[in-house]
Amino acid sequence: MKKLISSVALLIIALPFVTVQASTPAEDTEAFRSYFKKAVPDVKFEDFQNGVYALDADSREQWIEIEEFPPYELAIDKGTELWEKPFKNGKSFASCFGEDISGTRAKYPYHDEAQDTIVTLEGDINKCLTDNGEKPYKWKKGNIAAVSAYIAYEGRGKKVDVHPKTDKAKAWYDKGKKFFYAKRGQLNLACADCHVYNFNRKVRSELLSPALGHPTHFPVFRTKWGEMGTLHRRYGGCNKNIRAKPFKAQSDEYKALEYFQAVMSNGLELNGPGARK
Amino acid sequence: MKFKFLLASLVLGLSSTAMAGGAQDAIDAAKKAQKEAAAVGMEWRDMGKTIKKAEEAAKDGKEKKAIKLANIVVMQSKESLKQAELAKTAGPRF
Repeated sequence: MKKLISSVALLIIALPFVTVQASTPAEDTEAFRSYFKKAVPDVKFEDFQNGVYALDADSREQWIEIEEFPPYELAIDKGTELWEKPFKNGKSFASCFGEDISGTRAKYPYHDEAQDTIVTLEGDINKCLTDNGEKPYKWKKGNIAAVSAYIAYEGRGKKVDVHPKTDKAKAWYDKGKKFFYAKRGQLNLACADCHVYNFNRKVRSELLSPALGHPTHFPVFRTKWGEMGTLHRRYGGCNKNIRAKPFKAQSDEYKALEYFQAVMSNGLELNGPGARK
Repeated sequence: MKFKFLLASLVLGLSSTAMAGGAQDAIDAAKKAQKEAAAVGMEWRDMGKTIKKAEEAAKDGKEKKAIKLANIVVMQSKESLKQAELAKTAGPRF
């Protein structure tokens, strides 16, 4: 009897801890997708890679017209030129990424277990340069966005496939998840406040994009920028908008965020580079 | 007469020193608060800018304005530290 009482007591004490156990990335992804499916049941899962253009017919029409002469085309050309230009040591980007880059974009971001860090495409572009004695590109725009655009273009059609498997990788995923849901800045807004709970609603004249599919189409040519930019440039802009001090591109915070967002977008087609407002 | 003049000078001198010290103290506190917010990854966008404005105001002798601006940063930092605490358990609401 005593044993039974102590077992029940133990169960009662332990129960709250069992119920608040952290969810797995797979469970999070499922819940995330279900949320968007419930919110906009008419939008097909595969259309979320198109951001706001999956939601608003007028914007979509304009975007389709823009895509006839895409503004990112010049960046792809520039990226191709940089890709083919040999480094001073005679090597080129192909010596780092290989000749066939159709699957390169889909490899990123990934967790490097030995270094315990998240490796991004832009990170490896600059690593390739420095490993070969070249000066690295600036992180947010210009040449880095051009080479990234070229690699993204060559990798179109592959799907996001990012799965944190080890404890270290899961820790990065959790860091990104916390960042995504944490309110920050003077406006006290989280990424999720705009791009989950209020997506498909307007902020001034602009429709808020769904977080599902965010990382599929970067780098992007933004009309507002009048040029190309990386995902981390966009993160910085978002943080500034909510009056938080932005982190540096390729900071641990933004790498973790990119990793989390990629996991949430698993299964969507990579369709970068993109054109956005 | 001399005594009155000396007394007036002393009062004036003391009050301006206190004002200057007050502005500098407030600016130092603001800088410390900004560092605390940055340390937890929650610095607000305009903290640095506001501190600069406070420093400019102090330089121009606008002590009250300088203190007011510096105190805004201290208050913002307190709020950002609250955000950092809440961020520890941040997660989806669905």
